[in-house]
Amino acid sequence: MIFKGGSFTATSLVSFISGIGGAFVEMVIFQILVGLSTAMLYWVVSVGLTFIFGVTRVLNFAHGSFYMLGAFFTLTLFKWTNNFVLSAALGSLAVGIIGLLCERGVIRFTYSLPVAFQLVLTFGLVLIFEDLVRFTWGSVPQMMQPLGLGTVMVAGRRFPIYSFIVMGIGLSLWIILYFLLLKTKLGLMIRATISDIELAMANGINPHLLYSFSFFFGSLLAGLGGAITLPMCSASLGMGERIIIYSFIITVMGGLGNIKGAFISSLIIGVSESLCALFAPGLTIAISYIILAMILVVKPEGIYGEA
Amino acid sequence: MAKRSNNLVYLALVFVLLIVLCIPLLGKTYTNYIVIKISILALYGVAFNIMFGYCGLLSFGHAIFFSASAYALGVSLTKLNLPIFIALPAGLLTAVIFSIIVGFLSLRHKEIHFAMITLALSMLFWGIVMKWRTVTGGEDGITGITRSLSITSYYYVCFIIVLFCLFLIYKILFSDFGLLLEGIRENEIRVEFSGHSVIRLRMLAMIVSGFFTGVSGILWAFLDGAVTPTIAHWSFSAVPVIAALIGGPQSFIGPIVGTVIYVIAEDFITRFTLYWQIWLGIVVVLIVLFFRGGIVGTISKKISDLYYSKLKEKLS
Repeated sequence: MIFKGGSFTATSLVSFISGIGGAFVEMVIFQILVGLSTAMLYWVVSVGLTFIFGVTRVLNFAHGSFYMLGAFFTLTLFKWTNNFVLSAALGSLAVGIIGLLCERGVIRFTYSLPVAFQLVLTFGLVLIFEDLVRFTWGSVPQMMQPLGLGTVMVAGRRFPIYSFIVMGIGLSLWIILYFLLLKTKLGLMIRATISDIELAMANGINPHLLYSFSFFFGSLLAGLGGAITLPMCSASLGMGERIIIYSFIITVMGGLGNIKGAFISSLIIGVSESLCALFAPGLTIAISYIILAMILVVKPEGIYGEA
Repeated sequence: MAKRSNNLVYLALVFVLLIVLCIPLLGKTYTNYIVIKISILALYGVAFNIMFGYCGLLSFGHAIFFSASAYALGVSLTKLNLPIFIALPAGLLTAVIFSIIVGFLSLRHKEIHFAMITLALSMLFWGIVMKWRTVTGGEDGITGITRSLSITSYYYVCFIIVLFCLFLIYKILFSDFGLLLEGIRENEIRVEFSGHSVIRLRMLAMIVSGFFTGVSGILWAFLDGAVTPTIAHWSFSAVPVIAALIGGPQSFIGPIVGTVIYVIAEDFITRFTLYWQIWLGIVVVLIVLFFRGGIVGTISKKISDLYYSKLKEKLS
């Protein structure tokens, strides 16, 4: 206390300030950790979108719906199996297959069309999926029963262990993508298709197989994102919409189709959002748009440019 | 043939006008309401189509202009208690200012980037509207915007304003300016080489589009007597996109036809089922896959094909 028995002492002032400072630093560290775990969630979803765009040049509006489907599939599977890892894996696999079916069924006919048509087509898919989910699961948000992993004390606060797991998943996805793209034959083919599709075709690469693969893989990642968000918040109808806007922001900010850019900009968005919640709570909803606007004014093609 | 088809168009126009003028005589408030809704959304669609059909820029955030003017009107009427002759220009001015801001941030980009940035900005506005409760009323919106007109008189007022605005847009789009916009859509570099600033032309188009969207937003606010955040949401930005696609974005009249079909279909399907979005989605997918010219585009292509085949017969 500053006023000790009514008298003001210099030492108490110092201890007051350092006390504030310590609490402040702890608070910032804690918020950064929270931000990192959100950022990893954003990264898992938006890298799927980026991957699809990089290979096929289609910006998939329905990506948010796939995220939502992933959450609802996992929820139902968890009720049946009571095994979260298994249901998350199966759920995201199912979403991947749905993505593949959408690509084979409708999206592949629009590859040669102007971008507007692809956007509108995938928007039509959003409408369809939204009603299907409403029909199957109802419009009331549904919680999964908690996993009960517990918390650890970080900087004097309780921090859920599950958030560390989310960060781990995000980082391992980064490593997996690195090896997939840079160390395997498939990755070589994908990179060749991204950089010059005609030359890639001339070298015997079938782009349509890669297109299908990228839709499968990207949608699987969206489903995985939906699955891992489930222990943290409820599955609801509007969840896909929020995440698709964030994925768009991240994808545009990092440079369309640029995976490294998606990683960096998810970190920026996630951390700045949670820090903003600490310093200027009223601004939280706007901060990511403000950052996007600032970056686009300085670098119109995104942080790392278009892939 | 071209002249005769023009005459046909005029005839059809007069016919539609007569029908619309006679509808209030039925005395059914709900029908009046639906027709007012159609005319407002038709203006919204045509204003949007200045960017989409004529500039080739797909804006996924036109709700921002619509809702900005409606909110400006609502706030100045109910919170600031300003008289209506100040509130109306305030609403329109807000739409113009918003279109300048959005244009400044987005017009350097094309295609996907443009769509994404307009979408992001409009969602930012939606977020602000939802959170800034003291001014916008949050989720409840602003209520108590009164119009002293009965629904029948408002019907005619609305109709006349919409017709006048459509006439203005028609004049703007079929002037040299409109031709330049189409030129930019087809080949940006050539227009630039002929000494025009592409960015400035696009900015002008954005302002015109934003202004008329603002007009429709104001009409909407008076129709419902309330402004709610649904009109700021991105699903409301999708309404003119879908309407333009159904009708045919490459023609002036396309979005109007599309809006008529969209509103009537929505009204019709929601009578039978709660799940009307799925049908809308299926229609959108089918249009993109099979009828990319929209209704007007498909029909006019049929007519011109017929005309040319007859011409060929004559020549041979």
